[in-house]
Amino acid sequence: MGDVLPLLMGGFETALQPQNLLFAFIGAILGTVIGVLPGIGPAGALAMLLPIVLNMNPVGAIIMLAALYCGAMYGGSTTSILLNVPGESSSVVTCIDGHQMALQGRAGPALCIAAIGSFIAGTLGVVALMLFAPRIAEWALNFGPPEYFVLMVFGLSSVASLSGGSLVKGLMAMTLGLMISTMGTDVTGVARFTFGVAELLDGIEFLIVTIGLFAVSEVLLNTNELRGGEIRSVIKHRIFISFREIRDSLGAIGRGTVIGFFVGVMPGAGAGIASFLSYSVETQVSKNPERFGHGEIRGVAAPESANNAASAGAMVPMLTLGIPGSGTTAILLLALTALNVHPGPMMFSQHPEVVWGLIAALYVGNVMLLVLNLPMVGLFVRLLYVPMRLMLPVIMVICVVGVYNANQQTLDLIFLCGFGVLGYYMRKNRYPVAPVILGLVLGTRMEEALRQSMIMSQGNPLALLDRPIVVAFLLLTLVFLCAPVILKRLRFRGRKVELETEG
Amino acid sequence: MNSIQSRRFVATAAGVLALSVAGSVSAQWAPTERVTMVTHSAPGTGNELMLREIADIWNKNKIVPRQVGVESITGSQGEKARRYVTFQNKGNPHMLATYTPQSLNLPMLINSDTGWRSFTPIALMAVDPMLLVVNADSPWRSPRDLIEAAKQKPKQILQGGGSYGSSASMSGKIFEDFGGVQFSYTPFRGAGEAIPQLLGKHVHFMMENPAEMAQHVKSGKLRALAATEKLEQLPDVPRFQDVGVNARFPKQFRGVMAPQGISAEAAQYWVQALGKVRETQQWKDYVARTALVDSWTTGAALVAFFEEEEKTYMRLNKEMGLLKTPK
Repeated sequence: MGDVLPLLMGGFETALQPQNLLFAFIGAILGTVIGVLPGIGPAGALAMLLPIVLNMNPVGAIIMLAALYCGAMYGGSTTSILLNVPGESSSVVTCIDGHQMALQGRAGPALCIAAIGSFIAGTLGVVALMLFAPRIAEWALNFGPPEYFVLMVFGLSSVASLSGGSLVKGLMAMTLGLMISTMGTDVTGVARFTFGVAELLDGIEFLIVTIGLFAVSEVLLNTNELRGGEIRSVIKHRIFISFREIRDSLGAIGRGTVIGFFVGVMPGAGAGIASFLSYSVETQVSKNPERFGHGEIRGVAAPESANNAASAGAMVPMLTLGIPGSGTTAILLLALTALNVHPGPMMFSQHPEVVWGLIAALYVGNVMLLVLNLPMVGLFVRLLYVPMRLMLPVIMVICVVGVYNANQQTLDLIFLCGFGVLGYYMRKNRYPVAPVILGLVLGTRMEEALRQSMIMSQGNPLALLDRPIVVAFLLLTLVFLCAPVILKRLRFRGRKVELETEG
Repeated sequence: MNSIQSRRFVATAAGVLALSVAGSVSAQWAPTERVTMVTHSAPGTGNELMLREIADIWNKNKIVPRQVGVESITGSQGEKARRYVTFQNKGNPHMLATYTPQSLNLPMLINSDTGWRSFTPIALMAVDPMLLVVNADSPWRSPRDLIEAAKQKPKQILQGGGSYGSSASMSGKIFEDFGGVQFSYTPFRGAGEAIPQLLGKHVHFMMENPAEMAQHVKSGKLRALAATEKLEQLPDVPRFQDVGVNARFPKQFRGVMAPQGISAEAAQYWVQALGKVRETQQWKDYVARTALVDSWTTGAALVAFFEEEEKTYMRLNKEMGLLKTPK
């Protein structure tokens, strides 16, 4: 700790120079705006800015990219809460309770807690990154393919908390997601379910499915209501969050931060999985699990904290091993390499000014976002007062542009419409759509890890059980799957006993 | 199927054309509009940076009279970029594209009509060396030790690397054939994801470019046993032939291609323009900085090289069971 402080101070000195502050400011604003647009997630935002940034000085460039990263991560929550339109995998879960809160007139508190949770988790994440990066990176190396596989299995167990009313419908939706995830070129280089179409070699992009199932179906549902003459009564929206709501969410934010950071450290696991897991954990530890899905503030606080902590966690393998932990850090890594800074085991000693500049920039970016976004909550909430007949076409345009922009393929738009219609019927028939995304996000990785594990053990599945982390995760999964059922039984029995004694 | 046949025919014709000009005198064609260089890899990755370097050298030294820009078209395993270049820009002399072993092999694997014969070969600019590394805690000190280990425990020595069909997996296969043993190849999403697996001892060795691995070797976590070339970064690492492994590993080349159907003069012009790039100090610095091996093949020799590599890959694809039978 003694030698960390002066280096960090040096980093702040760099980050707080007026010029660099300006870069951070531009990055944060751009990031938020881009993050709000569905279709362009943090990775896309960084990729767009990369060519410009490559001509800047390295420190300024990295500060701007870091701020952009934080901003885009945060921006995604806004549309999820207000419009039920997630911009990326990590804000899918936020939709579930966030949008319910908005429908109940609590859009303000939902946005506030997303900002506060993001800020706390982001800041704690950077502290952890700063203090323990090399040690955590060392620990993460224990995760081989079998460990990844069970981590993904554990992730799938969160389907229980995403299903709402019917677990069977949730499982069906998740299976659909898993099936979609098998499309495209698999890890061994074989093209599957591509029907000879070159555009399908990469599979169906997760973004298209998300935007189709959530945003387009939302537009369709609302259009249907408008045509049916149903006019949603304008709810008076509360803008600010109460102290009680913050106090209630602190536990969720803390748990979200820890889960998010550790999942983020695993290369390839990512913020999406972190947010799903944290939500699942929250429903398990809550005393009122039935409130989730109906506008529970912890259901917003946990995933939003988790995805921001995950983005700090993803920096660990990037900085210490030179290995990107997520799509976004992959682009950050490219930017660093292009600026002739090579992240890896030597980076802390070779380019301390860049490392500590980056760490300080992450702090500055987080603070800047909180300061920028809390006052904006009032403005954003006004979006809900825009009449639906004006809002719906705008959402549709943004979705189409966002999806087309990602790959410039018309085929993607056909899929977008297809998934929109599918989402519409699913929601009409009370099928939850979030598990589809869960299956899609986890499916590819899970299959890859299983196949790698099988190659490693010459096809013997029992060899997996020799590994302690594998067993631990399997047990945890079992607990998560059985706990709700057992708890329900216990509670029911308790009541029965009571009744008997009364009688 | 018919259209594919005819396309192939056109492509071959273009190849022959390019061949015939290789020996002729100075080019009479020069660009009259903006030149675009296309890569299938993302901004900031090796191939894209190489194009940027070439474009920069051309622009700065006025070797090419028009502005040269770089465009990155990612997706569909590079198939999108290949289609864009050679079909949508058929006959466009103001376009060039990067070409790598993946560009050569993937069309074969997916039975696509974007193989090397559908392009006009221009030049091969550089080669990435290949490095054999193990975890520093492992007992193996030479490639021979790995072969011995695989003899003791067939199929239990694991090689990590990118997907099947990548040059890493091909190199592993050739190493297997040389030693008369069997390793197990474990594919990951690129070398980047395989490295933590080697650091965490989940796989036993890797054969990849030094770019991402050199620093782990320098920091003492990984041990390099051999390389295809002498490396400036790691001068102590012997070449494969120095330690008695005389196998022909596939070359991790970086080439430049033009769309099919461009004139022989245009093809010749680009060969000369790239030749001038190699003479600049900036290019020499770039090659040294990125641990590339300078290499130069054009004309008939390049066609012969592609034919040779194609044969090697075809054989390996078949032996590894990667090839789908054409319908």
